[in-house]
Amino acid sequence: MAEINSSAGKERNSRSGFLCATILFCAAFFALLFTACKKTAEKPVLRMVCNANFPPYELVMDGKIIGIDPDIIREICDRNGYQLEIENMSFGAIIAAVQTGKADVAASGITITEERKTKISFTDPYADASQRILIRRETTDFKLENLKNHPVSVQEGTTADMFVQKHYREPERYKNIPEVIQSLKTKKVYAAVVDQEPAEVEAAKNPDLLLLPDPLTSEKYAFAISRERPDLLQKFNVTLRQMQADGTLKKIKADGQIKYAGDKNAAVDAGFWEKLKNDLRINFIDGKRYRYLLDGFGITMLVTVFSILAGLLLGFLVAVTRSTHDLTGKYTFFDAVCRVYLTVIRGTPVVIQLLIIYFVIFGSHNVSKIIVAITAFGINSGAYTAEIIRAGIMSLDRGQIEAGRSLGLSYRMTMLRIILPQALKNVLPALGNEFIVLLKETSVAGFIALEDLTKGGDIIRSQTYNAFLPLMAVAVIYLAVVMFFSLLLKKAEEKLQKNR
Amino acid sequence: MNCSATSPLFEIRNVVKRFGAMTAVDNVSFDIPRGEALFIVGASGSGKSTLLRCLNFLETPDSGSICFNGAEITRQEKFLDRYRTQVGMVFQHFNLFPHLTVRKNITLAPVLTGKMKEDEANETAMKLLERVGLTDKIESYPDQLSGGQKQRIAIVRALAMRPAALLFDEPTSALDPEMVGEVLSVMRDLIQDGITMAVVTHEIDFACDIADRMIFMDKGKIRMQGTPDEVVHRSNDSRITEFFTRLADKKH
Repeated sequence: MAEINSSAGKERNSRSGFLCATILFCAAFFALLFTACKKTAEKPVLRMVCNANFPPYELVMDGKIIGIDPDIIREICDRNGYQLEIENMSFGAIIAAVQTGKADVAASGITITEERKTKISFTDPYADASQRILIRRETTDFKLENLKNHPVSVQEGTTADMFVQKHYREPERYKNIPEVIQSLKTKKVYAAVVDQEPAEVEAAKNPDLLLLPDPLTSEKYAFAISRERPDLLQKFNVTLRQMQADGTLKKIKADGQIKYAGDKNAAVDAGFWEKLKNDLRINFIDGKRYRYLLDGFGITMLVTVFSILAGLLLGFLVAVTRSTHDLTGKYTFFDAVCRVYLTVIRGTPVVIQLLIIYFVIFGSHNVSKIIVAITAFGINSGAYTAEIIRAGIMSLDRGQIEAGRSLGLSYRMTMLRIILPQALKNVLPALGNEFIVLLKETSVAGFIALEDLTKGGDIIRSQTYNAFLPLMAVAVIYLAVVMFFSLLLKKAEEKLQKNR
Repeated sequence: MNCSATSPLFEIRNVVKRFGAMTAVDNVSFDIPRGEALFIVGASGSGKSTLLRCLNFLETPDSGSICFNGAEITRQEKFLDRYRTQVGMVFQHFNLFPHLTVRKNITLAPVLTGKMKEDEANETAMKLLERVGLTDKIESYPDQLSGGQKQRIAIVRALAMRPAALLFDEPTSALDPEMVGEVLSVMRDLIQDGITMAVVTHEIDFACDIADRMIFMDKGKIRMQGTPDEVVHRSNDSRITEFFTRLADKKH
């Protein structure tokens, strides 16, 4: 039966084509990953992280992170031959960033506490600080013990957070100081507890707020450095002592108090349209703030599109493996692996997966955040895509596979040419829905300080103290993209319907 | 077992197929010589469809052997794919590919398996469609065809592979009565051409008229085999006569 043997060659040819495509895709992905990792600096880079909503210590102006902390650290870098890179993230994440090696130093008016000392090393203190209470001017009957039974807002992870929790009650925790201030101004809380200097800045900017004179605590600020970097700690301490001795430290702090007091957007007394026009200008035109939305939109689209592609590839592989197991009983091991993947990914929130991939899996590697986000959202989407495609495959009549096989087509050929085209057509609406969900899910990318569309709106919000317009703008952009995408999908479905 | 070069096209020996505790095909052996039209009849659940599906390994026999053209069929996927290109199958529910035109339905397998070039496959499709009188449907999709037309296309699809044998699994059972005739006439045409075929059917009149040989299946075993006349009219096995009487009653 010599005739039967000759089919193997062709089979191998087409299989290797498929394999090549997969390998190429993976290679492209890793090439992207490694280019993103690569550094081209001549001077060694010092990576600093901060929460840039803490004037005058750190704030964002015209897209740049400035403030007393960056000025001090830049001086330290200059004296030690480092090149400074600054990154903005939530206060709750900066200690972890140093601990996991994502950054070399954290500086955000960090108060020295015993608990924090167990995780990182502190440099010598460079500033005295305290926690102060802010209330609304209209609150005339303020008493300290009222904090025990009235809501109090703080910035998450700060010493104010710990102090209020220890002595009064569970505070309401916000991500940054502007949100803390907004919660007070919009009467969501009775009082706010904030570090002295930002509290002074806010009180000056907001005439409706009152800064109470008595400090709640007495604290010292220092920089946080990984416990595994005693050499760097040593350099910082030596330089800080020099700067103390030659007066540089004092000068930077004094200058900063004036320079970085924040831009005051005095409330304008005007008609509705006049006010709206003014707000639009402040939120989007001044300081080219529309750039946050534009750049953020670009990042969101980039992450979404590549996550969809990665999710489709992964979903296909998993769906075909699982269906093949269901149909033929083969690949028991791979099927089990796929099921674990599906259970874990579909059983945990995407934001947790994102944080795990960023802080644990890529923990001590300096990988581009975009790659991290694409990896996380791609893996997440893959699980949902896989089950959608598998449902499409399993919903087809078994006779379709049998007809293909009875004509001498291999299992793979039958899958590719007969089953998958039909399955995909049937599940296109469900797949489209998954892509729309994914687009909106990428809005949690801000958790790893990736400046996507949502984060862009947040940044504007934190600079202009205006919640309505930035949030509306972000919502409108998402809505527009989803509507455009739905339209494309509808067209694709119609075309498929016409062409079968 | 030994398969000789001068042997019949199919040699089936001791084939057993179980589904769980149920034995669908129970130690069945028979031959199909070249050019023979073999009809397999019997009650529902007697194992005749399973037996037919064992012939091209859509069901893998649990034991026993099948020789085709003098060579034993191994269970290796690649050999099976090659084997199946030589044994076409026509299904009860047609199983046309709904996302492809009639042309693609017919030419897909010959081209993909490397049996023909695109042009040759198209030419073959056209010739075969002419033979079943459906050339005008070549660009149609399956859901634009009647049941009888679908089954005729399905037959053409199997024939386009130029198989050495055809298997028919109740090809008219899913058809409206007025469409049975057009499918049977195509089958009659093929039998007269001398193609080897095995047919599972309830169309006893048609079988009597055209079959070279008939197998009567009961409880997974061959109860009787012989010419249609011998099986249908001259059996003194009460189970067999009862079956044909009941079938005839249903018809009238």
